[in-house]
Amino acid sequence: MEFLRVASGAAATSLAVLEGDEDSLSPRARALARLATTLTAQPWAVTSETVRDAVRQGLDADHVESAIGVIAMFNYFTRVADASGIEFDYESPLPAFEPDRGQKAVARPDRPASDVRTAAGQRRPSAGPLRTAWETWRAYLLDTDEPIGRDERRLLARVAAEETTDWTGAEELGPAASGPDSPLTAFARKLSREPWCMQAGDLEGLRIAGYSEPAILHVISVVAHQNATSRLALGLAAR
Amino acid sequence: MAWLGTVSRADATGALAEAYTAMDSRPLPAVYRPRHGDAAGIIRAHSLDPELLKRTFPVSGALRATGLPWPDYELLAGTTSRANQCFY
Repeated sequence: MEFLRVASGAAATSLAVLEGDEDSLSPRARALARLATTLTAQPWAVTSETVRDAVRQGLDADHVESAIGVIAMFNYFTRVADASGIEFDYESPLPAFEPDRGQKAVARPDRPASDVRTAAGQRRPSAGPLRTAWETWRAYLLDTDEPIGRDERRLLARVAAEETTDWTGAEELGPAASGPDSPLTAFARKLSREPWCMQAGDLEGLRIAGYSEPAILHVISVVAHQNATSRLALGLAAR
Repeated sequence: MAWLGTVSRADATGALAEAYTAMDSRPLPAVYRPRHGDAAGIIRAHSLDPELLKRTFPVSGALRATGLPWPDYELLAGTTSRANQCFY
């Protein structure tokens, strides 16, 4: 929250976010916070009304697209941070954030008979630098043969899309895994659903299964990336 | 110490050293630069693959260039991190 403290010029907003106290936020900040919280924790629950709340606070169409992109991108960064075990880099006068590792993920809804809403909506950013950067990133993570294969990449991404309830995105990635979870799909499911529960032992499980250190980086990145891409798609389609 | 292998700026050579240098040249507010002098942990987490580093961070650069006000950007980032119970 140190960056927010500096960006906003005061500690009050950072403290409210740190404490999960949305009622203390300004109406604009509250609308953005609700969009971020919903798209992160319950992406299936984001509706046009969730987005309109932000529009009513003065965001234009481009800013709404950017806001959804930032939320999606931080669903990538947080998963990379949680899975890789990096440490906090920055000094701050704010209280240290203590993650609640006992938090339970919100139960996922069953897959609907049809997914007309998200299939029909615009699922990608408008043409421009953001779309180009996103697709260049995605192509590298899904269409590269080393240090993990393309089939493994699509399997990991498919699990992440399913966990995000992005059924359209999951279908585009190929067939679902059959049978019980493998070490790879179990890792993808945990990192997608409860990233705050990741432990060093989760990486050790992949090492035992034969994955090299660079391969584990790609496993983490593919899963985190699909969590971001699916939220981007669901958020954009809800507008 | 991170669970995943990483390479510090001091130990970086070749493509990774070039990638770190390129990232240092990004126009970012000073608050993003850690006082320990090494690359930030989220950057080092990608250090086993310099190409991945080069493909990932331009996305956040593109998001910053969209005109979304900085306080809004950080509010969205902070709220997302909190929802995911993550310090980052």
